[in-house]
Amino acid sequence: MQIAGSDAKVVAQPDRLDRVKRFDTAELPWLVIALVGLLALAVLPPFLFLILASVHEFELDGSYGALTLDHFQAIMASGKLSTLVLNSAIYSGGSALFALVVGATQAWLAERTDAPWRNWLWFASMISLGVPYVLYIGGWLLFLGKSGPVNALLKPLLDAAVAPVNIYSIPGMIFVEGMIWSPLAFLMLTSVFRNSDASFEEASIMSGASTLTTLRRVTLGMAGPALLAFAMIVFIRASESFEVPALVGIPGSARVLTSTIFQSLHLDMPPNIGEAAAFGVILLVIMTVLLRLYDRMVRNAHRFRTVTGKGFRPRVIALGPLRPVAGLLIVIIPAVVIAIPLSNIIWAALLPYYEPFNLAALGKVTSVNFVKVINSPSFRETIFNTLLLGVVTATVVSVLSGVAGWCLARRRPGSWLIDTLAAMPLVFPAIVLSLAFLEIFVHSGALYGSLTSLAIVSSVAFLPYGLRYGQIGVMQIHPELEEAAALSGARGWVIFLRVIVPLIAPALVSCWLFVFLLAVRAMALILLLVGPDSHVVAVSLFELWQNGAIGEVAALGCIWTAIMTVFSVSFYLVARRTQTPIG
Amino acid sequence: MSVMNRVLQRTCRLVAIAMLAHASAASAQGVDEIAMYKGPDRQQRLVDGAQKEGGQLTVYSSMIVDQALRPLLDGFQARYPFMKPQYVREDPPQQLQKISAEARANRRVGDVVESTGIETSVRAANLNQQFWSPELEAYAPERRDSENYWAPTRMSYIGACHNTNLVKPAEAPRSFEDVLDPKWKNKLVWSGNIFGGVLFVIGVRNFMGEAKAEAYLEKLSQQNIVNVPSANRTVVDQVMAGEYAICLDAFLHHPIISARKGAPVASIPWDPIITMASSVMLPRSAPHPHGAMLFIDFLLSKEGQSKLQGADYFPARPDVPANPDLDAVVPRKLGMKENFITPARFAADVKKSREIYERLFVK
Repeated sequence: MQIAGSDAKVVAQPDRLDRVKRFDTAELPWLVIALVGLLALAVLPPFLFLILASVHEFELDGSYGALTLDHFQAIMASGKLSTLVLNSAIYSGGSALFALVVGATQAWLAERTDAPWRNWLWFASMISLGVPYVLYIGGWLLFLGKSGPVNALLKPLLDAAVAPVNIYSIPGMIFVEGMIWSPLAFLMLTSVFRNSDASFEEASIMSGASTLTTLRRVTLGMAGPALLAFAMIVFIRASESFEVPALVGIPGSARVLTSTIFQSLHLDMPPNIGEAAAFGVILLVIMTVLLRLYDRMVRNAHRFRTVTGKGFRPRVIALGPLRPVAGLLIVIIPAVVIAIPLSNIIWAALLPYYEPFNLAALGKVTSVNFVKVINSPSFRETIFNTLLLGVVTATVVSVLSGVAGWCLARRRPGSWLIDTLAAMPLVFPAIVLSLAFLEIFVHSGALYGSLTSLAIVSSVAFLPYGLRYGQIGVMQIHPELEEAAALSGARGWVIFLRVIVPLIAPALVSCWLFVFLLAVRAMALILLLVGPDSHVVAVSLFELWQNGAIGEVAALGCIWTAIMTVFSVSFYLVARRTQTPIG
Repeated sequence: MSVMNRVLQRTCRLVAIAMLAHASAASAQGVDEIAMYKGPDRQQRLVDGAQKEGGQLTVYSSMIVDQALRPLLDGFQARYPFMKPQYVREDPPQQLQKISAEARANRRVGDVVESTGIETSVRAANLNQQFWSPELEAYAPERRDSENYWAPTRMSYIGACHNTNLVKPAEAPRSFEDVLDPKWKNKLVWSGNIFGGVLFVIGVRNFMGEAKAEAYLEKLSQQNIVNVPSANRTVVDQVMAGEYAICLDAFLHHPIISARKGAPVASIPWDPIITMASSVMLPRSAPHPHGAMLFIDFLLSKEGQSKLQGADYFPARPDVPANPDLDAVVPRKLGMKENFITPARFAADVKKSREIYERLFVK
């Protein structure tokens, strides 16, 4: 009997191992196929539009005309091409570095140290993401502009004839773009630092390394792939951004590649999107190369797996005498990132017309802008639509990111296809994506002009960001946990839902909130697609801003920022109660 | 069998497409008839038709929503309580993209388009429809389209403005020539959009003649004008904030509206004043043509135009004056000439003017 029993065990073992293997290969192709199908459906039509738009002339009625390479030639021929390329590289690289340094410092302080008031960093980032885009850039221009308080203060001090700080320059552009991205860097990197295993750091310190060496060689070393992934996103987005190069760069004749394209878009009637599309194609090529490089670098990603089966215990580092310095940083960084633009916005909202801060203007303070905004008949509908758009987009992106991130991090067969498809929207200039989807939705019956159509476009546009969350989340989890589950008899979906999802929950929750905040403030992306029943806040703000109602823009901006803050804080509290720490 | 199936399917599809094309042609004919009808029972036919359309109406306009578009639609609804007007507010380039996409897909949503500077593009792409309204009689023929593909709704006067703290009103440049004075070097700004620097170039070429304009613009380019690539109104805001001293391409009523609230800004109209008209158009195959025509009638009527007056726009209808404090920039009240850029002139000159603008002013 006994012998028979042990025989049975011997037979059972290969069966289970088999199941592990099957789980790896046989059960997943359909998942990969389904994902690839879904992504292809969402991404390939605008991709096709991008390619076609880049090699066609446009007829008067907007249809394609003759084939042409003029759009590419126009980019190549744009005067000082090498200067523009260099400027673009400096601007994009600088912005990525700036955002990364500010964001990573905050994330490390918040997650891995005992620095005082570190929870405030989280709120500060939420608030700053809630500030509408046009107001954020505008706030900085007013603060650092020729007539702004900084120059007003420095001019007599330095006895300068002209304003000493010139925001309308490449460094100015890097500063503003970096500022825009730093809260995102913070949010993306907190989950990375949270999940990194403190035992490596302890081992390093035990072996005699200083805190700084440990930070440099162990903490940052382990966060390497995540830092790189984020830097890449900012680099690509900054390379193709129009707003900062236009509003900050062009007035000071600080030009990058997109400035020329932006100008030709706004000097033509109808806007000639051929050049923008051609630029998108060039970026697509560059991004493919970057992604390949990145892929090669994270091929050894197992080195970075820090959540293993042997107990997962992130622990904070005692800063000791450095604690007050950290506290100071925690006060200063959010003050710069949010308090300055935010106070400028509140100031603007309280005045009948905008003027730089001065004591005499205090007498003019009024609530008229708030009254006007709140009494606007479309106020409630607009706010409701925007919240709904954000919730739907964030949910769709988070679910897709979790599943796709798993396939990617575990390098399932065909996962490169998922990666390529899901990353593509990164390089679509918003204005091209918007026009592409206009062409698609106008042929699609009821979707045209609906809130659903806005949610679809936003989901496509923000998937690449969500995916990084999912991928990084899974990458940090050692497959031995899944193998253990498989050995214990669990099947693919069960493993995903009961092992992976709980472990990457913090990353997915952050992903949700992050995408939500991005989706509700995207403007250029949906401007063309809004219909009579889908008015949203970002577009109303843009309209008010274009028409000089600065006070009302600022008032609506304040109300919106307040709603976003309440929303984010409730979200944070609920997550904490359900013991899902947010990154 | 499968080949048979495919052939059958294809035939069905072709028949369906042919039927659709026929139906859309028929409906286009219908719109034409409604839009051009001049009989004595026109008003009744429009009201009956609009009721049959369920009171549906979608207006595409570039007017400011709370200030102008909504009061206008509210006034229209008060006049025709069964109407349920909706709107989409966009800038002219987006309006053009949208209606051309709708036309190509044969999926029309907009019933009426109100816009600036896109009239000839819309016409050239065959996107709109002739119409007739009894209200047209009140408008001067030189302001209208001779074939009635569009009708003027509101006027815009474009010129300079200055920050009154940075430049004393007595010192401000009073003419196109004054601004060439070297003392204004590095103090000037304009919008880098099509209605900014490019429109300024069109305006100068329109009244000076080619050779003089070229010489003038050449000199002007020595002044290092800053290009701010956003709407004209936001450039005025930057002048108000003290970021720049003088802007060359303000819509002249904007500084007056802000000055009313106490802002340190003033308009400086230069003779002749660059003048443009915005227009209303009826898209080809508008889905609710009866409602659309009722709205066009209303917009061109005294009642509709007085809504624009209340919104601080310049009504295009000659017998509806602008708000009295805006008179300070209306050419005929000032005894100045209008430098009227007709939609046709705008369309004809924009390409070359853009080249001149880019050559001389984009550094």
